[in-house]
Amino acid sequence: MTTSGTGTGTAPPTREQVRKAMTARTPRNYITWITLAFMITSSVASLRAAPTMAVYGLAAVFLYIVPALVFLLPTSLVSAELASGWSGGVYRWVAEGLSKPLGFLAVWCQFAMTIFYYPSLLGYVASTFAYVINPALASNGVYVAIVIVVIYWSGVWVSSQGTKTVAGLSSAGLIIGTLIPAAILVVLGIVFLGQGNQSAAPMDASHLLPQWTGIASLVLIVNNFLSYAGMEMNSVHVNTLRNPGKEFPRAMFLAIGLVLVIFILPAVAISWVIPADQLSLTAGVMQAFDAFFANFGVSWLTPILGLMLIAASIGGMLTWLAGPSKGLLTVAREEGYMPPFLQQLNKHGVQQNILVAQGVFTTLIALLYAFIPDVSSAYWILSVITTQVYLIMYLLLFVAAMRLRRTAPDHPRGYRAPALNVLCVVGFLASVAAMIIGFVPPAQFSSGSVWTYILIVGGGLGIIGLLIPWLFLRLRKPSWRQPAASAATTDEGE
Amino acid sequence: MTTTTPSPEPGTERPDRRRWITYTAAAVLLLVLGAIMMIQFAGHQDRQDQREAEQKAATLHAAFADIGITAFTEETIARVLGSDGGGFCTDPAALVDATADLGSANGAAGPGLRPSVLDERRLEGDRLVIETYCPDQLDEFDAYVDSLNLDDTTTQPTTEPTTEEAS
Repeated sequence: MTTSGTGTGTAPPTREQVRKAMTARTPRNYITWITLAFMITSSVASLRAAPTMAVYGLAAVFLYIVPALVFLLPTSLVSAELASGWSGGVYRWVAEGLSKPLGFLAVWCQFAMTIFYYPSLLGYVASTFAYVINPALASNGVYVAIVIVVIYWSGVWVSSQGTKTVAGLSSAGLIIGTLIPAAILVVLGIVFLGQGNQSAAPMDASHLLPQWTGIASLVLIVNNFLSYAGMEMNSVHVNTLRNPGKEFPRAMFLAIGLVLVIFILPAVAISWVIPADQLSLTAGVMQAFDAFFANFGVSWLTPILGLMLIAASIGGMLTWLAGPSKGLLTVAREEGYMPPFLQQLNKHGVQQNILVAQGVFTTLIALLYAFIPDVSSAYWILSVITTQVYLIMYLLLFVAAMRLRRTAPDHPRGYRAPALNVLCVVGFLASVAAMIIGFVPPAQFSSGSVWTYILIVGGGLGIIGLLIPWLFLRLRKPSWRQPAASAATTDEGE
Repeated sequence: MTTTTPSPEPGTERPDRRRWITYTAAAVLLLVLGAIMMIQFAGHQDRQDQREAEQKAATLHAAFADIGITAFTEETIARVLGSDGGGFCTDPAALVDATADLGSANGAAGPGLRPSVLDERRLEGDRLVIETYCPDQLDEFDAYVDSLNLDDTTTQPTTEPTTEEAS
């Protein structure tokens, strides 16, 4: 059953009337700030990157801390301030700080990126499962397509049950799939050193910095800024907290700590046990973990870890399904940027039709990804384009935050980020740097022509990040607006 | 003695019940998947020809030593790669994916994941594994490596030279 907002000839109810009506009809489903912190962490961090970064040994700490200073802290602290003052997530912040069309652009960039993210995330789930049950399946298109489509649509169904259901499952995914295995890796690493073994990677101060090899090192460091992309996304659920102004910053600080711990400690622990040479000889994440466990004679842990990684990935996917689409719903209703069909909610107050429409595109892309080898091997270009699109949102976010401090200094905020302008400038410059590095062709780009690559990435950026949102703005109709319903969506949170 | 349980607040019973049904279903599904994965993984390892696995591991270990790579112990190689090469030999396309996953991606685990710098030594090591375990796929792998754009902006020595190389 779906419910649409008003749209009849009668005068629409006021924002307050709708809020009261909704509150009277359904008891609010609050989540705790710790649950929200888990959701934020689950969206961003997992053990997937640990073997990749373990290759750098102690320098992995540097490769995560520097991006944390210039990107994680700015995005997190700025989001914490904005979410503690304005509900509705990135659309509301940019709309209030800059303009409504730019607010739509920001939330569109966040949403559009996810459409291309799911096939690669679920492709990773498929290959993790295949590694354990039958490695040959990893290259079987039918198998990969089935895994992607089944898990994706199951995720849509779970998301349609409401934010609280998503919160519970994604938190469980984080605990089971990331925190527990991370603790196991670190404990095994400590046991390894405790047994009197020398750390495989040198752990002295002279190895804290990665080897400088010119522009490649710059590419390495700047690309890592994006490790923290997504910290702001769950702010759209801020109103599911009892006291958003105080609790959201708390959730964000806990998430910052968890993300850093999850990224850094397991990578360092792996580097204690497996030398970098050996790590770079493993075919994929699972084989790296398999080799790690084989060192301890506990290979039976490999399938369990595989299951845990799958749980973490699906938990992360749920948060991405529930977040940006909700932001898009708010703006679609408030400003009529999308047709009424896409503004409809199900009985749990979830933007089911947006999720289904997104699912149709994702399924199509997933089928191309699974069945056409050229699409699969060129998919990394889409991942570059979508991260570029996502960076547009960050640029808008930082500019909006600075403007809001100037134009609405007295607007009540539960938290005020220290040196906000400095944070915004640093975050903005880091985003620009990441965008510029996105135009440097990686090794996989076989033609080698820089200009061709710039044309492809720039063209994709223009189409996904600018042309499509412009078309939405251009084609909208005044009758599509449902501001009162939008207020209810934002206020209710579920 | 009788105990009374407080009745649930009207309107909250059904959503909570539905939520717990979802949670339970997810947990059961995870347990079933876990059981399948444990059984299949053990079965796959049992099906490996142990003698062949040890022979190939010794060959690969020697090949790594020749080019100065600090390799896994022969025992670890035999456990991880078995006699059929595991993930390395399923399909060169899978190896391409693996390279994108591990060898040349940035440190992101979420939507920020994108290609970064490639470790050239990895390609050298991968070739030795394929040569040892599935030589019939070597041409395809070489074609993939030839297609890569390896220059100063895309590759980086991520490890320091080994003692053998230094000397």
